Amino acid sequence: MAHITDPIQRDHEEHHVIPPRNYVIVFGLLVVLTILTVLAANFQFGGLLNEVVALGIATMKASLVILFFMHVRYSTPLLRLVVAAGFIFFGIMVLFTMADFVSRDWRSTPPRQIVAPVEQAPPPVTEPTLGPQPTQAVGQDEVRPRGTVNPGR
Amino acid sequence: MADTHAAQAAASGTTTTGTPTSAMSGSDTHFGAGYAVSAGSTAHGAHARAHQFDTPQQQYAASNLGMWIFLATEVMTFGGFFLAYIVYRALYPETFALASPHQSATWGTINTFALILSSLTMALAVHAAQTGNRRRLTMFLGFTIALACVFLVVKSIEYTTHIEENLWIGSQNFHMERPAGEIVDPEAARVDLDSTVQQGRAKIFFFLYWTMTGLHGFHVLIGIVLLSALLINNLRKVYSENYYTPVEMTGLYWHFVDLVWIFLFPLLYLLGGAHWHI
Amino acid sequence: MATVSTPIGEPIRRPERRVRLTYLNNGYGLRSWLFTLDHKRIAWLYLITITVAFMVGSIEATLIRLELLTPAGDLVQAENYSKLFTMHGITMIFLFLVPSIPAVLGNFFIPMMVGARDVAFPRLNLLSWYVYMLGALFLLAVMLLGGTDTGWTFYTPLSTTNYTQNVVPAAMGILIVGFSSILTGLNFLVTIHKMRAPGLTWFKMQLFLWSLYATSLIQVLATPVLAITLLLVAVERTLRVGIFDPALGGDPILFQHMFWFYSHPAVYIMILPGMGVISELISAFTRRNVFGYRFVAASSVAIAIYGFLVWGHHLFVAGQSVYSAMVFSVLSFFVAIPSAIKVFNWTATLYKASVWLQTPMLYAIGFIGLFVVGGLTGLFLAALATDVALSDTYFVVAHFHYVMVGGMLLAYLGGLHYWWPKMTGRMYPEFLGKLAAITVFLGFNLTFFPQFVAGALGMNRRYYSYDSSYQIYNVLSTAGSTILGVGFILPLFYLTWSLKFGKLAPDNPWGSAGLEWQSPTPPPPENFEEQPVVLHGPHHYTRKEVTVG
Ligand SMILES: [Cu+2]
Repeated sequence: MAHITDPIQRDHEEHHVIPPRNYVIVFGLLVVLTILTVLAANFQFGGLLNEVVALGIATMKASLVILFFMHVRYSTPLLRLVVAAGFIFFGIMVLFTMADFVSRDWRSTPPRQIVAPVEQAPPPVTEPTLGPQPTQAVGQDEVRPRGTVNPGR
Repeated sequence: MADTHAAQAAASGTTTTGTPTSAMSGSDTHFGAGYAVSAGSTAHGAHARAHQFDTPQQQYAASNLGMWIFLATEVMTFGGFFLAYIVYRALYPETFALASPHQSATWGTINTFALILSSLTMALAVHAAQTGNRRRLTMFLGFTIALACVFLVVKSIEYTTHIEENLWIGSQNFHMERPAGEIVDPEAARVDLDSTVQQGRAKIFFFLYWTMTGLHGFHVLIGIVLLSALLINNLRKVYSENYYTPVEMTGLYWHFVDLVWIFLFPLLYLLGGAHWHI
Repeated sequence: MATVSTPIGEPIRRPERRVRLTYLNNGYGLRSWLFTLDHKRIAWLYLITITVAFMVGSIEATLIRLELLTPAGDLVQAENYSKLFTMHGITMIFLFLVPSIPAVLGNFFIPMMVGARDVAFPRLNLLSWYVYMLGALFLLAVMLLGGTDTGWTFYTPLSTTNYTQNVVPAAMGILIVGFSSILTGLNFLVTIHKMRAPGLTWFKMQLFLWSLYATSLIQVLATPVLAITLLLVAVERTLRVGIFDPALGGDPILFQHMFWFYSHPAVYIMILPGMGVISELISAFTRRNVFGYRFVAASSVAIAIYGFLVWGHHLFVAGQSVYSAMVFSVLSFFVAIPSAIKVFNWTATLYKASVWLQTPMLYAIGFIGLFVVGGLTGLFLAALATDVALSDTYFVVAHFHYVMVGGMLLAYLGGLHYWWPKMTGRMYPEFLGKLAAITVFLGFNLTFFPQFVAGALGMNRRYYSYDSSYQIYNVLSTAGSTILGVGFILPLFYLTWSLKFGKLAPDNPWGSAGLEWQSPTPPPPENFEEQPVVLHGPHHYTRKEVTVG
């Protein structure tokens, strides 16, 4: 039993020395993308496209930082899994929560409108929304309604 | 029943006779079927490392994994805020579009550049540590700290402006004015912003703004403390090309701080149009 | 190795060390305990503190049961009753159940089971305990200030109004305890990944390791969300403005989403370690490897990950989208699959085995029965239609007590008895042990089974008074809790007694194949005298041993 070879891959990670030139290139890309996202902000793409563009650029920037500054491009599969896990579980949280919000009033609410301060605007100033209706004016926080309480389990 | 099992245990060579005060005699008496003893294991490596590790490589791998798991928890921490932001942005897009221009794209862009530049200097600091160049390590750590301070100074200027504009959420006089300049979102342009409903939603935006940037700013502050500790240790010649794990780990943390800002910047400053003011 | 040769060839006999160095005699002062970096001593720090927490939580439970003996509010009125059940929940969940098996048994045995000298980050390990203590101090302060009365769930908008008290310190206390839980989970993940002995591949790991690995995953990924949610409640309460406030257009149901994103997976923080202990016990006392080992191992991780997809079953009557509720309902049913895999495999292991009915095994068998009841009643609550009727009734209370007490607490007690000889070097008194195990099992069922009936008949939870038609169930329940109390007090006394007067324990009293038993009793400071090498799979019992039985 003198020398049993160690069958465990202990992820003998090497320290990756990356030439400074690469860091500067990544920095240059980050600068370009920052300028792009600022420029894109004043265009109205319509629909959700503004959000998509802004978040798309942010994701590209984030990927650059993670892959190169944080060396994930050169790291073990385990570390990549850890990085992915953080974002995947955040994604699960957003996905299921938003599923509730977007499907909450499918049948009961008329199509969404914004009440405009126009002469022809209809008299009821209430605004159909997906979210809960405000029950009281702002600024009177001291006497809030007790609200219905559903104790959890 | 009990006796049978004890007999089995004894028969299998699994020790059942030792008492806690008995002296150790043989070297492998304690290992039952399925285990052996590694011969060379007691030989310790020459490098400085904590006693629970066999090799410096193992120690480094453990630190690295630990740091990344910590960063995953940080993703979930900020994730709670981002979830709230996404929900309310989906519910009240027009109010949020009117709230973003209250953040100065000028200051925001300056701070974005400060942070990505500090990420670069941090990466170069790690490189200096890897190559054992203490002078350059000191220099780049200094740059990084300076840029982090720039970020906090700009942020506090912004905070002051916001408080003057009655945008502090704790204030009794909270009121969000219609932002000066062009409103990009046509739907947002038609909203009656002075209504109680809209002011309530504006408060939600600014609640998110203050708490998200506040938590991020707190992380920057912690980063400055960590970086200063590195700097002091480096001046005391603690790090060399053989030992610089703390520099690398702090580097990961600092890049993460940058990462959060990369998402905060468009969400809080830009969606709704970049408005350039000071 | 006590002899050496002199130059003249005459062997000199050196005096043998009379007392072997163990982690227990490696320093005696208070400082050697409070500033220790030894995971085994830190486990003891946790053991003592969570025992105190358990006693406090039990006293609160006793008061609740006493109050419910009669339909009227004889002992306490509405407000104090709310405080009692809130503090009972907070104490038991955050100060006892979440740290119980991981921080005590896990801390002690994970490094030993992986064949390491310590956890990966010993300082962080000690820090976790201090952070836990800081959070516990906050919660103690809340108790001294008169307690908080929101329920352990801190639902908004109730928790952000002036009707409730001491919410901010309570939320901060839980947030801090949460950080302790994160640090412990992080430490265990890295330890299991990076500290394993030569030869110990993933599918040679003991099942306790697998379950604690899965638990740590949840602790690390879910707890931050709880922290941020409670922080938001505290800010909202302090500034009187917040994103959950309906007056501003905020949505309290968002709070519930965020809260249950943590708290449903947290249920698995509270049951997975118990499942790991039971796997160890069943293996050791049947002298077999657990049937379907790989499935049991993988089901732990499956439960941990899948547990993140079902939290919405807590929101069925809260006003979430009907469509969302349907999806969550269907998804919740599927959690039964990995849980059932475990139960079936344990049962298959017991089939035709020669079972050694020592105290830990009694707890293990009790666990299987009670967990099955707890799990199956969970299906009633996962079903959308029945849950609408059963929500907020005693049926729910009985259900989760079957899982938490019948499951986790029994597993904890079983594990504590099983490893007690290794931890202390002393045996516990077997007869009293068996007596206590049977008392706990009977007392538990008498306490909580009537609550299923009362709940199904419509008795609401969280009220200090109730319709007199439910009194019979409550009298039974209170009577049962008295028996249960005796069952808990017994081990407290005889285990403490055994520390000094118990029979000296052999190295491996159960003849267990686990790596932690291959070390001398009590273990030396660095766990093993030599670095172990693992040659075979877990729970490896040779053919001969099995056929003798
Ligand atoms: Cu649940």
